[in-house]
Amino acid sequence: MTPLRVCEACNRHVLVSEQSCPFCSAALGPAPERVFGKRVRAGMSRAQIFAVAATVTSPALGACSDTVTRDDDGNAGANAGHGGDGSGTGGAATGGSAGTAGAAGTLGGSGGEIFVPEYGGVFPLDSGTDEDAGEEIDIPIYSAPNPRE
Amino acid sequence: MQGRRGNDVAATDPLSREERAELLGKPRPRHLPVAPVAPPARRHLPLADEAREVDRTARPNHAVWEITLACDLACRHCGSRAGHARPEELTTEQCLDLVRQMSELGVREVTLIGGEAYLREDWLEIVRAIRAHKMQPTITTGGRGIDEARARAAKAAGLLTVSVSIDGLEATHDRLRGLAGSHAAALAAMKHLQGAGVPTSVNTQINRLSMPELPELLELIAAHGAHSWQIQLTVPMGRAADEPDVLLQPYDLLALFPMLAKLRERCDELKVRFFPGNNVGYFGPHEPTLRGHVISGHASSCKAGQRTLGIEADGTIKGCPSLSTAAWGGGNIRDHSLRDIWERSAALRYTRDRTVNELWGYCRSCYYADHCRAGCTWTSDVFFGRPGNNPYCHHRALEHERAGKRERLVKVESPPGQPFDHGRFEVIVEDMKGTQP
Repeated sequence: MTPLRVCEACNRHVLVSEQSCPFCSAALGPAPERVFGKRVRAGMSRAQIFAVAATVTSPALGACSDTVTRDDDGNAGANAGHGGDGSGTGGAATGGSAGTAGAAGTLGGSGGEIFVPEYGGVFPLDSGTDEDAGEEIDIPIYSAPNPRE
Repeated sequence: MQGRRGNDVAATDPLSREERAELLGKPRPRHLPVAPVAPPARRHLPLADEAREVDRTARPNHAVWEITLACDLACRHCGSRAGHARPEELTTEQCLDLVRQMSELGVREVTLIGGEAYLREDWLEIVRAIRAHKMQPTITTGGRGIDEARARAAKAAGLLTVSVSIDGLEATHDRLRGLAGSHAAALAAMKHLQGAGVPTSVNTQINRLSMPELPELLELIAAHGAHSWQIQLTVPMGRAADEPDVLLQPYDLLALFPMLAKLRERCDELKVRFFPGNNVGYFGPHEPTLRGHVISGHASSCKAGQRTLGIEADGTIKGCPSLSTAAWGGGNIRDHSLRDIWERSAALRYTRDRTVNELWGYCRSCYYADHCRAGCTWTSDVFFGRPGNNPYCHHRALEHERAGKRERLVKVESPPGQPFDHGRFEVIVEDMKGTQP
């Protein structure tokens, strides 16, 4: 599956193979690569995956508006991202927490998505189980934004 | 059409003032029983002889479990037509064994739903068992019966968070929920839960009644301490299929999605986590904003049977809780182990095997077909009786608008009146010019 990137001119997702945006015709430069590594593993809870997204998309990590990612196996992932740095893509100004950067695609085969089934409700604020506390994951499990802290 | 303002987010109402008044005052349809008794579970469904590698690799991290179909509300948009318990709901012993099996399969989070989960006398025993197996117990509720004592008991049992359903401001919510006072009860439930130390979030159905109230609703739930807001589009399953006038038309998405993007920004300001349900899509210019919480920054194909597990109170196993029982039930936990049903039933294998060749209609030739695969399987299925063509898509509405067209959904077949049933709709493509906005 060909990964996607975001056209900075119109904020639409487009295939990284495109030379110009099929929606607004803007020229698309080469998509720089960024390696995030295997941050999402099989068996992670939705809260943990959310925590990964929070770290990956953090402006402090330099999540940029136009990256393609690869996991440790060299599999290209998708990318997205509108800058928390205000660097241009239309929907950027989301209180500085914007910046979505991508590592979709394979992520070591474990999936980097948070499935939100209707009727399912929202996952807890933190991972919440004793098991999680001792799990060796290269992300801060409790880094998900906690609005009541 | 009229504008409303809840904060600085302007909202558009797809209904005229007269249409809204008529729809709010419209009585409940009476041609079907309000709460039908569910048919007995289908048993001894066939399974494939062996699991494949793809079946062993796929593992659910989230299970949504209807532990009873009994309910203290009879919501007019309820997909399961809840009210009465199913004929053969699982016993406590069977439930506890299912908890063990979920844990062994790799489930990390279990959301209990109904009906109303708390109407099962053993619901807290199930919560405790989920916690004991190091999974995360949560519930989704209408909140009518959550008082101080029940909230304290839930906290003591280890319930981690509760998602309370609030579908608009008071008049709209009470109309959709079919009971005056249900809005106040939902807010009171949030208060009781938070008082007991249980964090609360809110989930909201978006339809023609609730759509213009979303900005004001966000302010309301933030003021009532919601830590997250999950939104989803009302689709025609169960009772919602009996009242198609309430449903959004595809062209309503043209006004809805810019509003949702602004609401996402407002959520950031209010420190309310924003989660669009999987049938809120797809791939329009606001996608990176709406799915800023997803690592890829965009929606992907349906993960029913890949990451998500749905369970009905009689032990029927599905890939997603929303999917209709008849077509998507893969087997019964009384007949097979959870692992065997997960790995070897055709219904749960569906999304593991499907390709773009199974798409049809607009989605078949869509630019995003390979990534999206028509998005939410449930939405396509309940509109058209088969998956693979999803009319609730912002990209699709934009492309039609660009061509001067719009799509309109027309009900051509009514549902029979069973839990999780659906009718059938046809999509009409018509010129935008000269039509009502």
